[in-house]
Amino acid sequence: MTLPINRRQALVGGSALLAAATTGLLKPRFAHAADDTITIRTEEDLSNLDPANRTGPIDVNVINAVQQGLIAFKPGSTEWELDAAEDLKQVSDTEISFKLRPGLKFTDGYGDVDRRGREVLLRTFHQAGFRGQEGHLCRRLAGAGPCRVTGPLTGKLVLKNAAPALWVIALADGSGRIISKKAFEKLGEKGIATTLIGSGPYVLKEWKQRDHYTLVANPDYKGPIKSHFKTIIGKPIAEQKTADLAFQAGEIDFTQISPTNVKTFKALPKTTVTEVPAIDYIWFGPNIEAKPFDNVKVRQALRLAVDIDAVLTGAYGGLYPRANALLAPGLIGYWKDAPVYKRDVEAAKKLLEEAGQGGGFKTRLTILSNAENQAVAAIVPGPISRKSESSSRSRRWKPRPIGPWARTTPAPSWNSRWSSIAASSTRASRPNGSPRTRSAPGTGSAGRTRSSTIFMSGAPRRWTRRNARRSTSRPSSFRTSLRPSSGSPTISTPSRARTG
Amino acid sequence: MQTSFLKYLALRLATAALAVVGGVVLLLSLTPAHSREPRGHPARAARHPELIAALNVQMGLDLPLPQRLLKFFVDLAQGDLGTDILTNRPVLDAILEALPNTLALAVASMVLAIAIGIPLGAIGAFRPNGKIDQLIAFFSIGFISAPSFVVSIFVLLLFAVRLDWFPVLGVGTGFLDQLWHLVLPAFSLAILWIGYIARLLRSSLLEVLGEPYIRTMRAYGVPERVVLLKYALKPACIPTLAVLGMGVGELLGGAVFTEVIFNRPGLGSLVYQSISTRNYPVVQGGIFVIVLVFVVTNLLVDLSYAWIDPRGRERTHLEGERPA
Repeated sequence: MTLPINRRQALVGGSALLAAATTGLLKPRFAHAADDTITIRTEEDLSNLDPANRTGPIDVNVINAVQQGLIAFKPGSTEWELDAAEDLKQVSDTEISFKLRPGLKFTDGYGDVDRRGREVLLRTFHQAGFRGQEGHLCRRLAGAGPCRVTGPLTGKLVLKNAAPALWVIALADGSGRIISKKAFEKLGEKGIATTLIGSGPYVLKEWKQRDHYTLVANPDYKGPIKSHFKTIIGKPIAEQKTADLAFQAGEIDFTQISPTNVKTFKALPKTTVTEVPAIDYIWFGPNIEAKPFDNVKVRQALRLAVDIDAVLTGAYGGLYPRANALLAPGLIGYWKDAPVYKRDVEAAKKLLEEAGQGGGFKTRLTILSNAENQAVAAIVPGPISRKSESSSRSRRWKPRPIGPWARTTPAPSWNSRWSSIAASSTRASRPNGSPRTRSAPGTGSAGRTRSSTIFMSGAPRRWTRRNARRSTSRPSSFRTSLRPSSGSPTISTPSRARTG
Repeated sequence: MQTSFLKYLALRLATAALAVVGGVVLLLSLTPAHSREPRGHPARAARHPELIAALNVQMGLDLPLPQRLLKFFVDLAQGDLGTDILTNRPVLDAILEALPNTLALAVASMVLAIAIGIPLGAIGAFRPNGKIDQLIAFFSIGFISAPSFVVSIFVLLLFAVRLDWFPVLGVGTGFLDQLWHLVLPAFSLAILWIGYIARLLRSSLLEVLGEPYIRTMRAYGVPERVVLLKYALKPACIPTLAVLGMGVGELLGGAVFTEVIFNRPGLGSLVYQSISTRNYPVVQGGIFVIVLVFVVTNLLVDLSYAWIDPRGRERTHLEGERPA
């Protein structure tokens, strides 16, 4: 079959297309088309929606919106409150009993929770964890045992050892999501990685991989959380510049923005820029079990040799103040009077000599390749190398932009969680560990003692949103949930944002 | 003649197969270069050392290279490119979802480049060293020099943000919407090729215009426009055709920046994201498909080159009949 098109027809067709574009006929449906719909940017796509195998904060935000836990974090807080559980008690150091709310119902016809009490399943507690390994909670949290159903709506968690941190880092978080046993058995581990069945305030209506996912309010949801938007569309946009442009073009309503663009976005109409104080960590992660970094004096010397202020000026344009401790201001455990380690070459030399490294040594600095890190990598070795020129031996640093293992910039709560895990493990390992704690994560000092952190920058996060709505665009609807991330926080869905 | 062409075809097919196998060997050989690093998902690997071993087994990284190669080709013969370690989905599914977007972008870019580049080259050759030719040369070199990601940002700022004519994100839904989403990325990607084709065609056209048969036509009073468009342009396009074959192949793998900036879920961005998460099965599968498409495209161009150019056909014919 042929489609004969002459030049005139081609010109007419082209003109028609152009006219359609300029008159808006072919325009895409922009994000703010409806008041009850919000389009948000996420930095990555969803990966694995199985709570036990989730890969990061994007996954867990959606999981938390669709699946309930016994308890949940209060919006914008590290305190928890009852969610799917009507009642929750720590019976003993190793036993927690719960009673579910009546009327909870799994999506996609997987049954009422109350009618199928025995099908309620706390995935991570009950099933083998990642890739058939022992569930990480079982191993890390002093051995969470099985979730035993004791009645239609009641059950108990039996732990092998006391695990006080279980409440905040498991029960209230992604690990403690309640999933349908029937759904798990039907879909299998591969199926529940992409199909999200839950009883929460939202339903995952669509997930077109690497393009968008759509959450819609669950009409059968019976819990206390209010959904401020009927529809939430998440668009994974990896490139920050693209997100900035998409926001300006009106294709997304909510995004993290580049700090350098704050003025530009503040000048946009119907736009609110929210600055969230946070800490952006960059640390050296040497192997402290191998020479020469097994000697604490070498690590201390390194800390004194790096010019942190120069890094902040050179790599971050002097935008960020210096942070001197792991926890951000406002978090419980924030160390206000933490020592400030200024560059002191002589002291560093002395420490190296005491460590038997007076002649210097060679090592390699591995970074994740991006513009900021490359600037850091260029600045950090400079003074050290220059100093070494006066030494008897060359001590060169070779920045290599490859693997991420030695460098990461987690969001504050990532570190908070990390500290909390370390601290709680310590506490739980005591013979008489505290049976239960409701304190915020990150209260321990494990972060400081374990860390080989050299410098940090107190980098506030900038978020922007469009005020295109009525009451639905209240700031309270947009809570930032700083979760484990490889560099940036993500936003929580409005399901976590309760106005009371 | 037919037999000789079949021999030529068989030879080219064998060369193409060898190129694909070589690409796979190189690809699988490079993977263990990261053996010093945790290979699993970084967040998990950092916390669960035992998971690294499990992930390595799952990705086949625990096997020696010959066994990995064998496993790769055996699985490939069964249509299995592995499983995405993060989503548990078959890699082939992810690639088949992404490939049409990349193909559409590559083809649209090339069509745009041809539609603009060839007329520009012809106009330049029509009045060599004239003002229009110099202007075209200026822009062509500018186009060649401009990185596609810089062009992408500029066209987005102008046409999407300021003028609000085109969308920023995604691939769209429905034919017209998808076409509309294709305009800016295709243009950004085509810019380089517009300049390249214009310069290439101009020089080859000037060369053809100096041939004796063109001089003869002019002597017979054939109008200059007819000489140029009917008798000179076709042979002058042959070198350009060969370059276009390479171009389509390069665009398939090289559209990464454009796909990332325009947030298009294509093959390039899939491989890019998989590299950053060390999702090796997807990396291997994606690069394999890119290699395959690249080799097949070049094979087709080679064959069409031999078909279009009678001299090429004749050469093939003669080489085929040459005694051993």
